[in-house]
Amino acid sequence: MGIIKSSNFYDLNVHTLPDYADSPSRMILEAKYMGYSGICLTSINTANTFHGTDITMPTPRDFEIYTGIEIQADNLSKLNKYINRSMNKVDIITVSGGDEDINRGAVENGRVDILAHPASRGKPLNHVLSKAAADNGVAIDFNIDALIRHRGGSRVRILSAIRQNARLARKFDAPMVITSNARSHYDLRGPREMMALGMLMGMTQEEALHALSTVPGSIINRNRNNNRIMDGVEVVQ
Amino acid sequence: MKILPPTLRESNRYLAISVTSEGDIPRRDLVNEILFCAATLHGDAGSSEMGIRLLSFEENKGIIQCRMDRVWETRAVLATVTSIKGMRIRIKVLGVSGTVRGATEKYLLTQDINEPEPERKRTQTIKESRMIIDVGTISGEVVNRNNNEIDLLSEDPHSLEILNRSNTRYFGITVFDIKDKEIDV
Repeated sequence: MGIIKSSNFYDLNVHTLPDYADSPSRMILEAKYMGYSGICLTSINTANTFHGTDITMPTPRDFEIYTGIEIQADNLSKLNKYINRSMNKVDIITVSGGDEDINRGAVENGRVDILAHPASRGKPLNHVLSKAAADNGVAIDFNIDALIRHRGGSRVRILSAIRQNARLARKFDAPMVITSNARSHYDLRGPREMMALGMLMGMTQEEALHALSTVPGSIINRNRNNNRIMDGVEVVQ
Repeated sequence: MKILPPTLRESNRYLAISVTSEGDIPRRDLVNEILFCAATLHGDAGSSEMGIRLLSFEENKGIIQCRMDRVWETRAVLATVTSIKGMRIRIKVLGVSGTVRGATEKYLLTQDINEPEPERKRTQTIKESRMIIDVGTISGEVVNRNNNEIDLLSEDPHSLEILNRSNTRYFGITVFDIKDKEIDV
């Protein structure tokens, strides 16, 4: 248990006002209370505009706030357009998955950080997409809201798709993250609860721990590092 | 009948929990909801192996008993509890201990001095707390207040749409969001 206690946990997909019902500062307070070291406030709307969150609250101690956007698109050219538009504006670019074309477009674009809820329509990723995700460093999201919001048949379908995603991600060594996809502070869960749900999704305990701590941490480091130009190219001096 | 000797008993773990909710939760409803969630998530066979029991529940804090090797599964069950009779609810596990006394002393009675836990006792909706405040585009009535955290009830159509999308009754805001900080809510 020692390693869990000493880890920093991040939740990289949390939605706030004006898209959903909680203000950023409320979400931050609640996330801090749940035991996180940082959250990413992700804009999600049909226009795909990033609204900067001006937080009037003093940032809590040992807590980091990141900004992100979850892009919803219905075809590939729009997806790429929105990704290009959001570049350099946000810390983390997330693509709202589920549709097979969009899943493919997201994992093949190295500028995307996270493919969110790829299994939300009950269709798992295949070996080609998992390999592409590993090659391009696009993290595959295991959203716990699939488990806590659905009941019965739809949950079974989504869960079995998620299990296959986990199996393939392990095989091809694609990064995995667990996010809450929270729409209000009632959707937030503590890190260990998220790990428990991740273990139900077919991860080992260690993988679930990394999916909440080191993998999100490395995504953030990668994006906050100004010297980095692209994968493998970095300004050294 | 003779009781089982201690060496033959199942060994248990005790989870200290704290519950956040939109309204008051009766103990019986909480028990039913947790057992229902266990049955939907793990099935009857799985939940019989977990041996979940709610030992005490007072003022939104309680202790849950489960089998020693089923703590992770129990955590998963507690995470899937989302609402009771239309009221949103969230369960946070404060900690796990091997005895009831340990769980109570370590997690329920103590308060972290460095970071005081927000008191979960909710203020009554007395008359003074009913006032219109502005949070950007949203205005409404204060329903609950708890340190810096405020629950806001709003009824204009645009707000209702947002609340519907989030599946909650109230907007969650903080005192930092209110423009006029002089207001004594």
